[in-house]
Amino acid sequence: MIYAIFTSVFGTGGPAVFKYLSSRVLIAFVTAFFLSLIIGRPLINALYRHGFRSFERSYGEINSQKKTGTPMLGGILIFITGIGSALLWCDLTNPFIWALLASAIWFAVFGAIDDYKKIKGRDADEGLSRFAKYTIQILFGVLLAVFVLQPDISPLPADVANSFQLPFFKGFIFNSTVLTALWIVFIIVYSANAVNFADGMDGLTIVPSVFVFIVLGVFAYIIGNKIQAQHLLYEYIPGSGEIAVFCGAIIGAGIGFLWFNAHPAEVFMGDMGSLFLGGTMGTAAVLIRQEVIFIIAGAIFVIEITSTFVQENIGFKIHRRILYRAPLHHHYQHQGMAEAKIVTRFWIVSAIMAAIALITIKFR
Amino acid sequence: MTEKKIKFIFTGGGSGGHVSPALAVAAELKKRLPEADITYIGVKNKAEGTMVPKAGFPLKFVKSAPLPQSKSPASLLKFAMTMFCGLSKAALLLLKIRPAAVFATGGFVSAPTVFAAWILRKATFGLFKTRIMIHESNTDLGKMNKAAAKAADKVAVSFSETIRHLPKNKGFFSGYPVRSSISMQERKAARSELGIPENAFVIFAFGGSQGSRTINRVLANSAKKLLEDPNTYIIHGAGRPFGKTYEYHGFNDVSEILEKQNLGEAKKRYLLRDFIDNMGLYYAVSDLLIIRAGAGSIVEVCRQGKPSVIIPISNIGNDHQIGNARFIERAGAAAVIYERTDPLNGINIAFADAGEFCETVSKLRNDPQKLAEMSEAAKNIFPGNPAEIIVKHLLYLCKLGEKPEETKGTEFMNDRVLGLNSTSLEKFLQKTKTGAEKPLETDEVKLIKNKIDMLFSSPNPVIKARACRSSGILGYGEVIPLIIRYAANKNSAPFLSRDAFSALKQLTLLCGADKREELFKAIVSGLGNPYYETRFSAERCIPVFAGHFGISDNERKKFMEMLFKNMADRCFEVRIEAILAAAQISNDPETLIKHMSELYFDPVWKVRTAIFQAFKILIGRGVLDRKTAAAEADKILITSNGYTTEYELKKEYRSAMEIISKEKE
Repeated sequence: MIYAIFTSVFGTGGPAVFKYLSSRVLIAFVTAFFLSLIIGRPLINALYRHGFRSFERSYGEINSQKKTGTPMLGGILIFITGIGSALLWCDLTNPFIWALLASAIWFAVFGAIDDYKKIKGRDADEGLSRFAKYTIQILFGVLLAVFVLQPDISPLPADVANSFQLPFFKGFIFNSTVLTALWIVFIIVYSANAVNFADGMDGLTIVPSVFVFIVLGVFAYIIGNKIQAQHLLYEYIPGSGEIAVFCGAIIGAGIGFLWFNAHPAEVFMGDMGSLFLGGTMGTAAVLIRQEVIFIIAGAIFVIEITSTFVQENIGFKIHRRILYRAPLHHHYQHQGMAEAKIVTRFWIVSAIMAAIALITIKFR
Repeated sequence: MTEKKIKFIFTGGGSGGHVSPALAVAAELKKRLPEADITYIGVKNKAEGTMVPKAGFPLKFVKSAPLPQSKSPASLLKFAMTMFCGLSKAALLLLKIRPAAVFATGGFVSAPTVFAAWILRKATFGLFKTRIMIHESNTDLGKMNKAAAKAADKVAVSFSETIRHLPKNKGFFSGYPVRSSISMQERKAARSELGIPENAFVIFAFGGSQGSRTINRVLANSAKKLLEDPNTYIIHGAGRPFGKTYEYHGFNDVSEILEKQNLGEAKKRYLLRDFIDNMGLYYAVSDLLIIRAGAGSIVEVCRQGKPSVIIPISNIGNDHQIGNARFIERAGAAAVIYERTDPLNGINIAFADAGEFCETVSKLRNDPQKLAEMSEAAKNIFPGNPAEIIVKHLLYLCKLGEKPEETKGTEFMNDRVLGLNSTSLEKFLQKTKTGAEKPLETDEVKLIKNKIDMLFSSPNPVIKARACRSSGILGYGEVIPLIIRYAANKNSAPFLSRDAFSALKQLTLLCGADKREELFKAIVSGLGNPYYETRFSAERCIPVFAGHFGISDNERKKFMEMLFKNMADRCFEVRIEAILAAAQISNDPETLIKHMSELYFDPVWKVRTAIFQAFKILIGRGVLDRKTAAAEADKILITSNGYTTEYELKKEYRSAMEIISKEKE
């Protein structure tokens, strides 16, 4: 919004700092973070007062060793600060930003409904049904696929839109509209669910998410810059640099959330937060056609969702536990490892995976 | 004077349980509205084919099929084709007859007519005015009936609980309509018609139009014993399948069993029938009835004022027949015999116990006073006349009568132990242990044991595993041999063998000395099981085993040998439980410490915790001297990556709340 005001007031002149992409990324980041600090405390208190907590108000259920009673629905904090900052600093005429805002609202709303039902029903099984969840995710995946692949409305060049790219390889592996459409739907469903499964310990979801957004932001910046893209042999996608500003805003919001979510947590993000983060992450990766990079950078999410799948689907069929517990962080917890230790180690792994994802920029 | 005929279409069938209420309502309608012209629509080769012409109504056929079980495209296509043919034919019939109303008793037979009437009305924007009424005889609505209920104008229900599942203002309670012809037969005339002496005791068993395997078999197997009394007669409607393909042929099955029984002259007093359409006659002659607890049967029998022995169907997760039966039993009108399986002896098809059956029947036979009381109680259970209520509503719907009053029904399912499945059963039993539920009563325990047997009879090992766990919580000693078998078998599904051992840990205290050898072998085999959870569950049984039976030197030697091996296991829980079990039974602390010392730097701190616990146990048992223990403890790595969090504020909150809430009292 501020971007629009400046361009309309100053035209081509004026202070350039608000127009440069790189500076707006950092400003969006800082804005979101400070916004979190300002509204975080009152928002968390309001959530607690309105009963958005992980149990019913009865002293018998309070355990001095457990986290019951912590306010849920903290996703609303990430949403407000991240999207608020994005609205301030992004170019709102950019179609990539429309797609990202649409995904943010779509997933945040349905995550909030899910959380609300769970809190009202006082049971984790009371949320939306599995069928409803997948339907909503697939529906968004289909809409996004149409947006990317339909030449009349797609902001991407036609040959880039339906291409499949791999890290370490130059150019396209192959072009296929049908396969790309299926791939996009898969990535959206996968990303939303994977982040959702990883949500289970203080700070376990938010930090790896921040790393993924950093990687996606760097890629968006390069791919949206004609000179950089040519230099690094990426397919230039005009306008995609704006995605980096959006990523900057979410990173700021995420770190602002971590301020309160760090162990011992004062607020949980709930399904609203995890679905919103997962959904926008997947959407951003699809828009710059770097889904494989996203999978590498978000390896923690792959591990979490795969371990759950292995335990629940394969394990149940052969009537045995394969891991001690699933998702993977519970596997370590079962062995007695303290939460803070598990979370820190997961952060380390995700930082290393993010670094590997960034290395692929040069190794091609 | 020519009276204008008012036309009605009745439909419903498949089994006698759907046809007879339709016929009862039809008869009542004819009585109230003589100018009514009733046509019946059914499906070929089903119960309606014989019953409807006998009742004197014209019968037309349409095609229809039940919802296919498999979701394969071929069967779905076949189903769609059949339904299309049925719908077209029904629509033609409706257009030709132009009835004032369609009355359907549900089931797939009535589907084409109901939907055709609905489609015709929608397609002509209401010009085709035929009203639709459905009667639902069961507590739960099937898929087809749920859809039909949406198309109907009114739905009559046999149980007031059902109204909840229906759209608002659509349902009304009527009860289950019974053929009025039944009550008209005279006992004396009926007896002479069948050639039964007047003072004879007549048992009449009837398991529905297609027969019930459980009733057929228990009756045929008890025939010889029951007929020892020369004054007893048995009338048995064994049932037969309607179609050409069938799973069970009641009549043939009973004939075969009776052949083997070698009844001799008593055979004359066993009147075996395949299909009974003149129920009234048989009701009239009988003194005691053996029935299933379907809604139709119990209402019919109670209205006749007959005492009965009820054998309800037990389905896992859906116990509505048991609920019905217990309701009648509590009202004092019936004795209930529960169906069960015997997984211990490999009998996984439900049956009723012949000994129990004979005893119940003989006891009632020798107690005319009791029979008279039951008879009296039966008469008072179901007030009102369902057929009359339905006809009143039907006439009101066709604008031929006044608005009838609403009738209230009786609630059936109020037993807490009914309707539990494998998971909810375990949770429920857990609650009775912790005191969240009231303790179980004797008859509830019996029902739960039956249910656990049924779970054991399931082919799915996960269900069997849950049955093991439930047995353990309940303390179900009779199934111990079965559980030992599951535990000892290395080829059992991993979850099953694991849960078998966790049940054995609770059930060992109920084992007699005769089981000692078997149990020992099972535990030894469990210690070497390929699945880790089974290994540590078996280890947990060792201290209980030693505490209950004592432990011999040989047993100790064998156990210790296995436990030492398991202390090097790759799963930390196996290591932990091996240490704890070894500490409980070991007589040789030196060797034990030698093996434990390998684990002093175990990467999982919980294992090292177990070593300290082992020291405590050993010192407590007086086998280890404190000096050695102190020296050893010093060698153990006590840094760890785990700790317990404690929120001071929450602790203070709790203690404050305890004081605050105490002062309130």
